[in-house]
Amino acid sequence: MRIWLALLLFWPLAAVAHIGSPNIYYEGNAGPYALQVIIRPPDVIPGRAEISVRALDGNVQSISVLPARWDAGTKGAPSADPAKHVRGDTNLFSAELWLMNSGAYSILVHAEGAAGRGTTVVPINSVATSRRVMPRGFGAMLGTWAGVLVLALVCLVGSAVRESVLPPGEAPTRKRVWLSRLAMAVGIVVVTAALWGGGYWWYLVDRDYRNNRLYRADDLKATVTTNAAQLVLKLRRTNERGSGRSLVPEHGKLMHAFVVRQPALDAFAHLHPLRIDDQNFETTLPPLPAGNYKVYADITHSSGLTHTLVADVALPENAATEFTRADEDDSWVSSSLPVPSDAQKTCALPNDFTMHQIAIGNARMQFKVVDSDGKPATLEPYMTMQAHAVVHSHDATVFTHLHPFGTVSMTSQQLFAKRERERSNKPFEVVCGLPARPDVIIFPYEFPRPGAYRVWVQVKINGQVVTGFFDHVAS
Amino acid sequence: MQTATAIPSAIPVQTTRTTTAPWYFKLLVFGAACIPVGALWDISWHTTIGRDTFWTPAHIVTYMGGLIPGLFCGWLALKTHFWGSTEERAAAISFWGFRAPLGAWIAIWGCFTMLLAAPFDDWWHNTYGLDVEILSPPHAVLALGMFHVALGVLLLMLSLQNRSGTSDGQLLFILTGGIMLLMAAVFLTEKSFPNQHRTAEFYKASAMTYPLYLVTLARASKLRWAATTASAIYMGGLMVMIWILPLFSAEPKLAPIYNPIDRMAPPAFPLLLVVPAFAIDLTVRLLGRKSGWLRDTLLAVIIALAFLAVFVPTQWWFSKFMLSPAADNWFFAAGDWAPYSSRPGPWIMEYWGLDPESRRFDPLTWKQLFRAACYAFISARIGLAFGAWMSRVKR
Repeated sequence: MRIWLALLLFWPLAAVAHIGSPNIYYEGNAGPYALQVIIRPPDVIPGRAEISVRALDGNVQSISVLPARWDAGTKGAPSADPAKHVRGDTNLFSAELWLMNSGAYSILVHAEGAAGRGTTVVPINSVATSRRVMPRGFGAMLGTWAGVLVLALVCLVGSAVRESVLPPGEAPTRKRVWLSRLAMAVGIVVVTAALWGGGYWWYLVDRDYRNNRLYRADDLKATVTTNAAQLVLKLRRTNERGSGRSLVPEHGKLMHAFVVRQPALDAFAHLHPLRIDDQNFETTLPPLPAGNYKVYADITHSSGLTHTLVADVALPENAATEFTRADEDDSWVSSSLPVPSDAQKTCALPNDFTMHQIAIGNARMQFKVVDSDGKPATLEPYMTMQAHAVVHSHDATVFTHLHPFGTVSMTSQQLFAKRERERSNKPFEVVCGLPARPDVIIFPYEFPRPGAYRVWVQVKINGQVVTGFFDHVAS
Repeated sequence: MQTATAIPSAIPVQTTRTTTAPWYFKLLVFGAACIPVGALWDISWHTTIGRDTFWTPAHIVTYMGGLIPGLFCGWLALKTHFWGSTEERAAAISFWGFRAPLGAWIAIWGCFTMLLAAPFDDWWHNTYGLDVEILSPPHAVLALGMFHVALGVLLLMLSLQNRSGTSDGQLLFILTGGIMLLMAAVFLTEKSFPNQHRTAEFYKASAMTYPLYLVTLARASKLRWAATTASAIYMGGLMVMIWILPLFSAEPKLAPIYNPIDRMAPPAFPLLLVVPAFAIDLTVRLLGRKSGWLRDTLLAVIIALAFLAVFVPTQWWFSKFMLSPAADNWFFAAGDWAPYSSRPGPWIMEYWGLDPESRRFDPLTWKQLFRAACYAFISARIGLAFGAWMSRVKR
C-alpha cells in the first residue's frame, strides 16, 4: 500500500486557513507538560493524519491522541490511540488518526508522566485538498493487466461456446467453430460497452469529487474605491456551495486581511475589514504604493473551520490624500524600509528598536526585539498575542498567518472547549499556547517546500504596532 | 489463441461415472463461500469499527475466497494439461494452448481480476478518500472477479453434475448457486434495506438480478426445487451472519461516532426469496421442460410476472413487519445494521423514499412496476438461455 502511495503524483490545490502550507504546527501546554504538535493532515477525506508530538521539557512518559469532530465532540470520539515512541528520540512520539468526514475536527493530545495527566486541543481542518493523477507507470501496469484480462475473457467466451457442451473427446463441428467466433465478436462489443460504462462511472465520481468534495475556498472579489479622499478596500465573498455557517471573531476581528504587493513583496498591510453584511466587508487603505496586490483574508466559521480567501487588486498611484484608520489594530509597512536579504538577520524598527532573527530550523522560527541598548523590548499584547507572523513565498504559492502557539485558530480551540463544557456540564479548559517568553518570540513552523520566503513579524511596543521583515531561503 | 484444430478429433474416451466429487471440489466450494462471508464481515467491520487496513480479517477471508479457488484451479489446469489422463484432457477445453475444464479457466480469470482490483482500490482510496460505499468502480472490478471465481466453481460443479449425475455434484452445484445468490444480494445491500421495500429502485434492482440467478439454477440443476433450495441457502447464510456477528464485542475506532455500537453490527434481514423462488421452480417445472427461442421467450414473460406477483407483496408486507417493534429482537435484528456514523433516530425504522418533498422520493408506481417487469423479463430470459446452456455443459 505504501508503495502505491509513494508512487502517487499529486498537487495541492489549496490549503485551508493557509495557502500551500497544509501542515499544522502547535506549541502549547497539556497540563504540566509543554508539547510541540505537528499534524500532517490527509489531502483526501476520509484519510489518515500523521501526528508528531514532542515533549519540549521532557518528563512525558506516554502520549495518546484522539480525533473529535466539532459537532460530536469527545462524546462521539473513539478511545484514544497511544502514540509510539520514535526510536532514537525519547521525547518524540508519533501516531496516525483517520479523519472520516469533512469539516472542523480537533485532535486531543493527552500526555502522561510523573506530574499526572494533561490534555491539549489542536484544531484541524479536515478537507480534501488534492486531486491526484494516476502515475503513468502505474496506469500502464493496470491497463496492461486489464487488457490481458479482457482479451482472455473474450477468448474464454469463444472456447466455452466452441467446446464446453461437447461430450469429452468430441471435436467441434465447423458450425460450432463459427458460432464461437460470433460469440467472441459479441463478447468484444459487450466488454467494450462495459469498459465505456465503467469509464463513464469513473468520470462521474471524479466530477462529483471535483465539484462537491474537493475543498474550494469562497470566491473573494476585491475592489478599491475612493470615498471622501480615502481609498477604500471592498471585499465581497461569495460561496457557491453555501456553507451557511456564521463567522466568529478571531482575536476579536471577523476578518484579518493581509495586503501584499506583488511580486516584490515590498509593501504589506494587516487590516481588519468591517462586516457590512454576510458577503461584504470593507476598510480604509493605508498609504501603500501603487501596484498589484494580493489580498489574503482569514475568516473562521462557527464550526471552527478556518479559511483563507484570496483576491487580486490593483492600487492606483497617489489616489488617497487622507487616511483614517478603520481599526485601531490595522498596521502596515512599505518599501521605505531597506529590503532584506537572506543573509541579513536584523531589521531596524522605528524608535531605535531592532528585530533579530535568532534561528530558523527544527520546526521553529525564533526572533527577538531589543532596544538601542540591546535590552529586550517590552512587548505588549497585539490582539491578545505576543506577536503575529506572516510567511509568504516569493512565488506567491505559500501564505501562512501564525502566532507563537502555531498555525491553528485560537477561536476554534476555544469553541471546541466551550462545546465540550456544554455537552458534559463539566469543566474543560484549554490554555492556548505556552507562556510568552519576554526575551524571545517563537513561532512553531516549517517551510513547506524549498524556495525563497519573506517573513513579516509584528509586535506592539509602546502602544505602536511595528513590523519587522526578513527573507529566508528554505533548502 | 488455440483453435479447434488443436483438439484431437477422436480421443478414445472411456466414460466412467464418478461416484464422488474429488476432494478438492469441496475445498473450492468452501473458497467460494469465503467471498460473501468475507464481504458481509467487511461491511460489518466498516459499520462497527470503521478503521480499515488491507490486512483486516474480513479482507483476508474475502481474498482467500479468490485465492483458494484460483490456486486450486491453476493447479488443476497445470495438472490437466501436463499430467492429465487422456480422459481428463478430453473433458477439458483449450485456451491459449492449454487444456483445462472451463470452470477452472473462469475461476483463474476471476482470481486475477480480484488481484487487479486490490491496487486499483488502494489507488482509489488514496485519490478520492476511503470509499465507505459498496458500489464504486474498483469494488465493481472486485465484484466482477468474485463473481467469476464463484461462476468458475459453479461450472466445475456443474460439469460434475452433468457428467456423473451423482448427488454430490447436484448438491455442490446448488450450494455454489446459493453462494452466488448471496453474493448478488450483498452487492445490492445499499438498495435492499427493509426501509426501501416500497421504492421503485429496490424492485427494479431486484427484478434485474434475482430472476437471472433463480431461473438459471432452476433450469440447470437436476434438483427438483433448485431455486428454492438456493434461496434457502442465501437466507440461511445471511441469517447465520445476523446471529453470529453480534456475539462479538467491538467499538467504533473513528470519529465522529453518532451511534455508539458495542457489538459487531449484523446485516439487514434477508429478502424472503424462497417465496418467489418457489414460484419460479413451479413455473419451470410445469412449463420449462422443453426449450426453444419462442417458448423460452413466452416462459420468461410468465416467470417475470410470477416473480413480481409474488415478490412485491411478500416484501411489501414483510418490510412492514421488519420496521415494527416486533422485529426488534436477536432473530430479525431490525435496525441493528445502523452504522456508528449515523445519528440514531426514527428514520431507522421508517420507510425511505416516500416523502414527496424528499430529493430521493421514489415510490413504486404502476409505471415503475411495469419497468421492473421488463427488467424481470430480460433477466429471466437470459437466465433461461444461460440455464439451458449450463444444463448441457460437459467440460
